[in-house]
Amino acid sequence: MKAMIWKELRECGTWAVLAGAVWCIFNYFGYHTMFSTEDVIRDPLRIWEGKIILNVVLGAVAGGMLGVIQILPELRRDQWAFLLHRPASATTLFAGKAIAGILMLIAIISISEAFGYYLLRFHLKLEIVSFWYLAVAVSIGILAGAVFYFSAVIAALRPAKVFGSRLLSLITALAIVVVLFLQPSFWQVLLCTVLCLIGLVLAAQSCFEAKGEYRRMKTVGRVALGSTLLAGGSIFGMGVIAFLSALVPRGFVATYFDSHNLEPYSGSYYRSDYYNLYDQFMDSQYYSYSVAYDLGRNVSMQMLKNTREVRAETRTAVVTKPAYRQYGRYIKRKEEDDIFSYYDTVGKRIVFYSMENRRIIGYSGPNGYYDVNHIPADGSAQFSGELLSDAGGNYLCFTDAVFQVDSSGRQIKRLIDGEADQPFQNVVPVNVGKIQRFWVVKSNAIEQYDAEGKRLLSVPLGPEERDGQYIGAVSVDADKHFLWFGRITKTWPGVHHLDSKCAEVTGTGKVLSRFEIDFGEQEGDIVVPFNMMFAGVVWPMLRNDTHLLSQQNWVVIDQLYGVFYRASDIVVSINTLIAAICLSVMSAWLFARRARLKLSLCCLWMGLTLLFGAVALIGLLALYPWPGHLACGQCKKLRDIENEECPHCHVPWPRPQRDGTEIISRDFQSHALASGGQE
Amino acid sequence: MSDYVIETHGLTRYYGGKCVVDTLDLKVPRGSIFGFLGRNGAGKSTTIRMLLGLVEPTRGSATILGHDCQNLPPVARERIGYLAEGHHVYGWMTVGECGRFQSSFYKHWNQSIFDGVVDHFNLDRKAKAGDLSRGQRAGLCLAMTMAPEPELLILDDPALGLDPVARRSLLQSMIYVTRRSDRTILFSSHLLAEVERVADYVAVLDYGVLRASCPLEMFRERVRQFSLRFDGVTPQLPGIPGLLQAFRAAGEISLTIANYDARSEELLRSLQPVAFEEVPLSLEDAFISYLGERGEKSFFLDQAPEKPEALETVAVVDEEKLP
Amino acid sequence: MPLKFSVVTGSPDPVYRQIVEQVRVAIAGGVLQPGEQLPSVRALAELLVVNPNTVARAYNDLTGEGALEARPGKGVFVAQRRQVFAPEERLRRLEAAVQTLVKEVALLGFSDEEIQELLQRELQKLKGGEEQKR
Repeated sequence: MKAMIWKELRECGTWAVLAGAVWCIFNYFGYHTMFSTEDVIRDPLRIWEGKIILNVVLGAVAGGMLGVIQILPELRRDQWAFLLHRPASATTLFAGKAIAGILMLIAIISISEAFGYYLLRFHLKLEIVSFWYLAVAVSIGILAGAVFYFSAVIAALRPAKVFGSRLLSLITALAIVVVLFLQPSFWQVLLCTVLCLIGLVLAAQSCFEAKGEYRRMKTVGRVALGSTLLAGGSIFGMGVIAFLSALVPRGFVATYFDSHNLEPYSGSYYRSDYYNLYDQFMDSQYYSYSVAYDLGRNVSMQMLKNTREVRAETRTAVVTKPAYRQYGRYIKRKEEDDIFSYYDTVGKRIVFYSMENRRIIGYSGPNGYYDVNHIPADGSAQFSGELLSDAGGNYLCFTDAVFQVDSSGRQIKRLIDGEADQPFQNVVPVNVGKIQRFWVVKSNAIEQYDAEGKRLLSVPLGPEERDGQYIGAVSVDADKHFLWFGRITKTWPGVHHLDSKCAEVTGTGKVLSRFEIDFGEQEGDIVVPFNMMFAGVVWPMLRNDTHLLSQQNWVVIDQLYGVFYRASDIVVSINTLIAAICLSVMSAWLFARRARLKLSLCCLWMGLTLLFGAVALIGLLALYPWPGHLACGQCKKLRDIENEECPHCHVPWPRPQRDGTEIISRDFQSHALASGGQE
Repeated sequence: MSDYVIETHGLTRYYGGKCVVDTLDLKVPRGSIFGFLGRNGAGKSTTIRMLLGLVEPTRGSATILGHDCQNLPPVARERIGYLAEGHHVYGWMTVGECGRFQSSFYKHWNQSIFDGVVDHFNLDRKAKAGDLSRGQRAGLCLAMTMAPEPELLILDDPALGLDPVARRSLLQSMIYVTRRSDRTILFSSHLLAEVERVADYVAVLDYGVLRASCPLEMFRERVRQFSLRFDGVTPQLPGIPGLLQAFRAAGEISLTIANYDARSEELLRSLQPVAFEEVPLSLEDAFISYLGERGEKSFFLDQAPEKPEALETVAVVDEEKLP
Repeated sequence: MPLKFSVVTGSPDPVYRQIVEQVRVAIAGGVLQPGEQLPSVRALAELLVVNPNTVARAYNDLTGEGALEARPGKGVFVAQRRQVFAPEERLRRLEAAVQTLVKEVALLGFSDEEIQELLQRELQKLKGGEEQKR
């Protein structure tokens, strides 16, 4: 195997170094561009997230390119024979190629990163505040590259049309990389990538061994390859459907909240319109769903997203931590003087960065500001606990305390202390009239504090209220609050049921009453794969299509497939639906039998078609090529050329005709030189 | 050790709807030099690829050195040398590096053979393989294939594109290999001069069908040409078993017949020719007649050209005719 | 031994028969003396670039004819002159050769006397060579 690695490195090594050099040039221009845009001049933190994105792209391109150039030149028939006909297993040869490829990938990224570091540190004179992020950037690049490397190997090996199923594995790679990028924690990134890589490596190795011919691959490889392609096809399908559905008018009833007529906690709905996703995306004023419940009149409750107009005092409290990609959370951006400050989530302190000198000049800890050369040793250099929110910029809310921060960021005042065993889960400032209050969510209670840190009320949470996903608080006045606990459960993928319980609470924290609100079932905005698969082939009964509009009406259901939205369409859609399902399942059966699959495999594919629709059919066709058929000499029906016996008349294939000119020697004498000691 | 290094059973391969190898039953005896002949596109390369597990047969099976062809383990590949037509190498490697690269895969590698062949072809060890001429590359590939001293050497059209000197060197190497009596060579070729020199046995593939598989001498002995002279008009020919080709000129018919025997002679004499002579055939002429277009031809320009008629071929039913 | 073997391909004559004839001519012409050793099968095969079995077959035929004799462990030698053929066989071979000659020269237009004269001269040469060597 060492020889294989040597050969690959010698063969492709120069390309790798060249690619690294080219990317250094990109880096140069990229960084300069980033530093010349207004945003980044005021905001050098952007560069860190930009680096990660840059590295993901670099890694993906480099990995894909390497995978292709290591495979494509070897694919000519006799060149492949030269490669494979040697006393080493195909796995060994593949491992040699893969190891060399990954080494080259690491080299490319390292070269580029080294150059990037040089640029940042010496050319742009930016202080490198954390090496953790450099390591993260490099690792992300390598992980993305590895994913694309093996997908490119699969794509290069498969004998398929370039714009047909060849690209499926690359689409899968793209999806994996996007998903891994979006994970909040780095360990999740690693886990996700490692799991996906296992599948990809298995598929790639199996493809290599069989030179892309699916039928020659071992079962494990087939499963891995099939999953990869199916995933790619699904995602592609999703993309197409999402794209199409973005343009297709969706019949949803948009609810507007008429802010001028707003009475607290009541909803009036007076408009319904048809919009499409694109419009919604462009103009985020429209809500994908909203339900309003008037707590005062016990009719319905407002649960709005992206609300700008509502002044109802509701907040949702969902714990969010900054993702690994985000280097810091902005607390304040000062534009007057040259100091730029932000909260460093790793160093757990506020950082003061001089834009003129391009270096850190000081920090703020729980005790306030300290100079970079005078770091206190008493443990007050850093905040303990995790940052929950900045509550509008004047506060820092941690899991163990809430601090007030002055406008310069240097004066820190401790407001609320938490208990060691009961960390805060969220802290939300609210204004009751003009009075500042804090709602603090702990795991066993919900409390309200005033601006000085004094606890005003504490409502213990019952067991079923803990782990609630949404908690809303509505303060009618200082003495009357409604606490609302919402948890979304899925009764069927794509259909969400909102569990909501409400508690009426006095100003001292005494619970006056508890009641439940039924919101009915709603379409979630979580994209569910097989909903997207097959336009129209979804079960309308499982979604809440229509609710009649009434005066106070409210339920906005977001129809992704507005074609089947209206009540009158339900009947039509059921018929179409059943027809489509039958057709696709039957097709799966026919194709599978044609490809002479075992009965159990046929049933599996029928199930997959039921779930995944057209994509499964495409996968079935792509993975199992049909054996050829010729007319039988005896019964004239088509028979499969791979079978010795005709399935209809059971005669074997005829032997070639003899015409008397054959010269066949029946037995060959075993060969030795004619004897006689003539050597 | 069995007698045959390669055995195929009904080996068949289709490309699309076209059958390129049809129910091939081939046996290659150990220790022989086996020539694999046929026209272009007759299926020789496909057969060889199937034997090496590079292409999957549509039907049938084959064993090579006792192993199933579709699942050749590395130990089997160690004992089989394969030289594909085209003489593929990695162009960026130098000659010396090629040798070192190959040798790292084989447990048994005879460097003196590699050096010997490389020197015989006058290759500079530091020259890049991509810069070598066709013949030199062939020499390099041959060196790489022979150095592990494989039991079975499979050469797919090894002399293609080689100049006469390189071809001669190739033949010399093939004879050198047979110094050990358990070494077998299977090679496909169009150059009958070379086949005549070195082959013990030949197999002839005619559009996927095996038509001959016998010692070379048997092939020569069984394909014979006769010239019959007539006064006046040449008669119509009866169905002669084994008739390959007939050529009719003024007052003369020339016939090439396979598996000539007493019955064929009787039939010919029954035409009552004025003169009846055997025309000695070279191997090349025999081969061309064997694989050429079957039928009667005429180039008589004075008369209206007769269309070549398909000669009546007699379907052979009795097995006694065949050896 | 100034014996130069050569074979041509593409002739109606198989290679082994060419070797046989060349050896026969060499023996008849005295180029090869009785008791002289011939190259081994392998050596001749490598020299001529032909299959060793071909050479082996040629040597076998010659041994069968009595032109050569094989000494186990030592090699192949030119045999002492002796007839192995039955008289009928000898006659048949002579007739065949003469028939070939006649066919070849039939159309050349020589008179019988001219042909016979040439024949005499060749036979003399053959015998003369033998005399010389003895």
